[in-house]
Amino acid sequence: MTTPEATLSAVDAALEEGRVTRLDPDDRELQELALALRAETPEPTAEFEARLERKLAAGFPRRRPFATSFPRARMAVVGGVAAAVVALVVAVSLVGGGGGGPELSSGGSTAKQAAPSADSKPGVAESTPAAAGGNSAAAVPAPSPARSPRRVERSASLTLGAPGNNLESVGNEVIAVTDRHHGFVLHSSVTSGSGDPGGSFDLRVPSRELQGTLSDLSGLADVRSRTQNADDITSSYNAAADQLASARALRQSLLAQLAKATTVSQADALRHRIKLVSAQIRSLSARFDNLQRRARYASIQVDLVRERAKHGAAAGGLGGDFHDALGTLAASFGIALRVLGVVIPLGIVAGLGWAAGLALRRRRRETALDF
Amino acid sequence: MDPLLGRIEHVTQSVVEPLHEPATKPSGGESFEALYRRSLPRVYGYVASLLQDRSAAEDVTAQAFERAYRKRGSFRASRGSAEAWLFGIARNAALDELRRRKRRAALHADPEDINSPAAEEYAELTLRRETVRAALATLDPRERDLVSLKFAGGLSNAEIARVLRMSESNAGTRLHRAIEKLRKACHDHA
Repeated sequence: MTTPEATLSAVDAALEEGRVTRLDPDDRELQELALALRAETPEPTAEFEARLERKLAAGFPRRRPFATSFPRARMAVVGGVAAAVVALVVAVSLVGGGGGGPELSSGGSTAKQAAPSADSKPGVAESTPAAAGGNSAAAVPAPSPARSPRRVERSASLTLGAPGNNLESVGNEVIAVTDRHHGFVLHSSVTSGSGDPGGSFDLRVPSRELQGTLSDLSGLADVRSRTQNADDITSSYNAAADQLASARALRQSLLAQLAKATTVSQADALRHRIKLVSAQIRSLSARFDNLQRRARYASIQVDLVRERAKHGAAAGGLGGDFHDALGTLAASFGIALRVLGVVIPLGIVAGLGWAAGLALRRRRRETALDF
Repeated sequence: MDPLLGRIEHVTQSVVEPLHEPATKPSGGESFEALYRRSLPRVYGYVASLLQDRSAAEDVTAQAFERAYRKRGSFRASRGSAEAWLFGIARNAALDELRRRKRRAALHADPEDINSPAAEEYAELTLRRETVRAALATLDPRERDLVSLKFAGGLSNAEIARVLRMSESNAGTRLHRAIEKLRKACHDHA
């Protein structure tokens, strides 16, 4: 058995010389085989050579540029643009969401979705009959969903920062603003002096006054954060109204039956049922009233926190400018970091995808030899 | 003179010697045209051996040179010889063609025999060629690919290793096995 080195050496010698060079019978046989294998190599025809020669001289002109290369180029361009747009959107959203200013939470989007209902049409939320707790069945809104307006429960929270010595005056302003917008203070507390000064207010204002109130409150001090929420309670509201109307109708019917009762036992049974239905009506009325209040009034939670005096404002002049410049530099650095935080992972993912695509293509190509 | 050797000498000359002196770039690097002239017969021979279809081999060879021409800027001498780079492109084009067809096409025509042997030599030549072809038919496609790169492509073991993305020693070992298999098949056929 010949070694691989000996075999390949004999083969290479024969191919190089173009003839049998060894004397050993085994080597001669190998060399003859090598030369025979080379002799089996098909040769290009003169016509093909001439055709290819012309192509080479012309620089291999593209025959159907739009049918062959354009789709791939177009796909590359579209893919690149899509990746750039995604990167830009993510970067902008990150940068926009984390600036140095007050934070606006995602609750705002919910508020936007619900905005066309009560806010844009003042008074809609209060269009329900005021006498919900009354005895008249006609006071309950019609159960038809097609005609009933949307009932939206709105809430907001606001964190205001003010210097410690201003906390009390800002607190007073909060109450004044609430009064001005026809609201009321459900709860308030302000702590001043040493320790941990601050305050909190639980306010209720008519839903249609919510935006105006928030705007006025935001003008009282630096806004640290602001969140708005809107929940559609139309279905709960309509369900409660339907149940209340049904219970009242039932009580009316039972009262009519009681008036026509002929025996004592009949009358007692009807009175017992009327008592139960009345209790149910009270419960439903309370629930309905609660839903009405939630739709009619928006709740605002205001938190007051102490804010240190700004360096720039205190220092002023060159020192203030220097501080501003440092702040700008830090902000720019932050933006650059955030953009890199988006671009680098995207680049890594794109690179891995490209490598995986290449490996897959190579593997698929090699399968051509697997049959 | 051995009729087989006579044919072999002709083929060997056409393979080893360039048709024209390769033109060089001012920098001393080889021009694409020189590479084309030096390797066209070998590339065609390799592709035709792999596809076993002369007509398809012409298309694939032209396609390979066209691809190489367009990608010639991406060639780096530090990553292997120009031949290895070109044969890699040709092999990819041939495998793409094989995948398209999903079948092994039969040889449409026998290789053209330029040196027609004398009548008395014809029988022996035919017998030898039939033996070699029968032995080649016993190889699996990957072995046939390897043998084609060596004998039709005229590549060195290092260049074959580069084309097949394997180590040189691995390429040598596989080549040795394929040649031994061929030799045994020749004996069996004889």
